[in-house]
Amino acid sequence: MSVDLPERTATISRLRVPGLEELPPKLQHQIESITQQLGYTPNWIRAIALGGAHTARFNEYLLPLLDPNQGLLPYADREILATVTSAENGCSYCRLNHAGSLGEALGDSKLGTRVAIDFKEVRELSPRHRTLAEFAAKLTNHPGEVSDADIETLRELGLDDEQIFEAVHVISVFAAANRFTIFLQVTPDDAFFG
Amino acid sequence: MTATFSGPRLSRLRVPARDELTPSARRLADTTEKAEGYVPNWIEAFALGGENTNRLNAYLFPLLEGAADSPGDLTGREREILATIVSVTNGCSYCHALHVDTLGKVLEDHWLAHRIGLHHAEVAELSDRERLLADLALTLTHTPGEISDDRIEALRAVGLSDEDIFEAVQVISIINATNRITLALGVLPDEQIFANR
Repeated sequence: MSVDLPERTATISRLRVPGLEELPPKLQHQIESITQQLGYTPNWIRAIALGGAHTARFNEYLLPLLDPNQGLLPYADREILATVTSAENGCSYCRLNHAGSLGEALGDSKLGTRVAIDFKEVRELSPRHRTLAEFAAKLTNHPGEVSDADIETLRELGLDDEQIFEAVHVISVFAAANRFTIFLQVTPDDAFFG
Repeated sequence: MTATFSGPRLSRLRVPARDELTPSARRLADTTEKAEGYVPNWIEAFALGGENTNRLNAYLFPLLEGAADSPGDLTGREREILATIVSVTNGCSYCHALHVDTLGKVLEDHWLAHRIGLHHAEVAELSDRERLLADLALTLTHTPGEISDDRIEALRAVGLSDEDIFEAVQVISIINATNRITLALGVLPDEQIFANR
């Protein structure tokens, strides 16, 4: 009996993947520094490198929002927002990626994966993380329905207006990053399955 | 006791005073005021985001206005058509008013800009290439997972390079971000935009 195996020749993106030597120095440097940090070069950054100088500027917006050592909100809050937004947008690369990083942020890899699949079923979520997750889902799926009451709910958690804005930035930058990745059909990294 | 109406507010979140702004945010407010005669509400409202907003703007402006270092080669008209259609489809009234107005300036035709904003499929003046890009904006906004390889081939067939296609994807995607920021804040549309249109 023969098994129909998927083709293994697929490239990492639906569009052309530029060689590293073609890229502007700032983008090359970003790729080197991420490679050093992870021990491998993730496919997302090679695929979106097609945007050249624009991509370098996008990374300068995105990366500080996800930096554990920066930010007004605790890192785990920002990872909850990134993971839930990626899940609601249906981005498989981003879900697998943030399942891992959320798992690390929470110190529980199973929880990270469960949130990346469907946060609504995760009863262990703290009220704070649940509220943030619900806000991310609403702003992602029904941005026009965000109301004064939603903002009040965030204030009741103890978030000040600057922190609420940071949450909005995280959700919104993923509205963009998820669309890049979905459009390009970036192949998930082997490291996600290790 | 009767409630008094104090006029609509600019944002749901706190709006920083001009002297609180970072140097680059203040520069943006000043140059825009000089060019337009007023500071648009989005700039005032987004300033609360501090450096994150500065970094968003540093990405957004070259993408919308064109940049010498851009690998893609979309026309200014195409980029603004994309920004307009995404803003309309996301139901962001501030972004809708702003981008229709900017598109009107790019086209030097506010009537055409309004018609594109209302329903681009009815606008015979769009080229095949513009229509395919506009359709891409709708799908990538609403159902991003449903863009087939054939759609990408069709974009290539009207002369777009992979760099051009990815530039369009970036414009569509970052406007999906800015629309969400604007809707979350509930930014009040600028009165000035409606003055003479």
